[in-house]
Amino acid sequence: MKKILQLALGILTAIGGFFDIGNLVTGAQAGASFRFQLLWALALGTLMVIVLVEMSGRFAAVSGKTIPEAVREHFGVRVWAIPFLALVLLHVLTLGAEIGGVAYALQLITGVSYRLLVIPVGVLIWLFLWRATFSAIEYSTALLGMVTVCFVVAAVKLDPPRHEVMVGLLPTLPKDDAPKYWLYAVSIIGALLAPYLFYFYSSGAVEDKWDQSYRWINRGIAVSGMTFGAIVSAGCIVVAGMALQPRDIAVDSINQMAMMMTGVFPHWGFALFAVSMGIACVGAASEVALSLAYTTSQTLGWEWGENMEPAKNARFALTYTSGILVAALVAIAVNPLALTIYTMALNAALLPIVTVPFLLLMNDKHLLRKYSNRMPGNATVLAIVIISLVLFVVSLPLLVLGGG
Amino acid sequence: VRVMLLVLALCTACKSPSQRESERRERARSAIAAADLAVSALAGNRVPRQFTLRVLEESARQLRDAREEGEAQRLDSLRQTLAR
Repeated sequence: MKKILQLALGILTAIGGFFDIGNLVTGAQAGASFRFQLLWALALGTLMVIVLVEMSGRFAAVSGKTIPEAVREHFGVRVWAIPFLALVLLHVLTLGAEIGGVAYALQLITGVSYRLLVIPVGVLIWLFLWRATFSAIEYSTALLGMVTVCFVVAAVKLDPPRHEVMVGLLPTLPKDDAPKYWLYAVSIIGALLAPYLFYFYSSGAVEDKWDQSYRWINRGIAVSGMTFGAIVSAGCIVVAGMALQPRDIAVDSINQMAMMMTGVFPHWGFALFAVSMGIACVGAASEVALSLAYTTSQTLGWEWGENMEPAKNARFALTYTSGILVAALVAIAVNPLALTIYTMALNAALLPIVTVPFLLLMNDKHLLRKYSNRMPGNATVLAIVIISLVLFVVSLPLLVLGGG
Repeated sequence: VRVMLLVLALCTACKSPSQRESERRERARSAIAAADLAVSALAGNRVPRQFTLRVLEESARQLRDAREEGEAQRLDSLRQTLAR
């Protein structure tokens, strides 16, 4: 009974914690420019993230170790140095995008410029991490994050043509503007495969003291949680496709995105969008900041754990504190929309670097015994890495030209 | 790194004038449509006035970037009227 409850909570956490600024921006831009034509990228990315999340949870449950700890122990710090630096860069950029997202949501509600709100938002997130335990952070942000289900409700109310939605789930070539199409495809996949998601997930499994008996819970969370989470992202694409695309609004700013639900929910659609965006970004910012501290502490062999007092865990707390500070400065300096789209594309591009050491560990029979990866799992991860790299290269022209 | 830089340089050089013109027109169309939607949403009491003013300012800036001075001025004067 206890485990069923944990599974239910885990699925809720996965749904609530799934949606963030990356999913919102990439979904809105894809829907506004290509209607439902990029739903396939979401479906493909969801399959990929299910595989990677299941593996990271299985690894933590069976070995009792997190990925950076195990890589450091097995291959040494030198091998892990480049993936670690790539991870730090991705974490800081993603954290900047999430903090910018919270500040922008507050700008929509208060009218105060988001640049003025970035530092107070950073301080509030830092206070939240300083005071709260891991479970409190996990469950509060996840339960509040359920508000993002409004995108699914809006999509259903808009009654999109079902045939067109189903056709969108099949990969098709773009009729025009190919670089933009591929950039959005890679950004959707990058938003889903943000490395913080599985590093946070595996550290959380160790914090929650998972053992081998949690394997089926892990599988349930990975499949159900990620699938339901992806349905919220699909809702965002459909709403943008129905509300913005017919008006020729290509989503060049977050203000344009903010109007996507004013038609379907006339009097509270605007507020609902701002609240959903704010809550989703607060949850994701907390997770990314913690994930940065987990990854750094585990790599350098420091004490780590969100359930420990900051005074007894100073270097861990200092890592997320400095991460928030640097990310807040990035959020002030760079337009949040541009920061998001480029960070998500970079997520996909750097995926091979951060995934390959993990894949090697997943095949270590000494560490995982009979639970190590089999051929289908390895083939899927290799396919994920190759697809994300190819999509990134194809979308390079637009990244260079700044058309995002 | 050199190969990557070469590819990037080629990509940058390869964008044709017609592509640039098409993108410029697309951006202008999007900015005008966003401004229209924000004004009609304000009329229906669906968004705050401050938000509409911000969208109009942003759209006017995008139109100037797209060299659509006439439309940008129209949005500026609309914004001034709404701000009163």
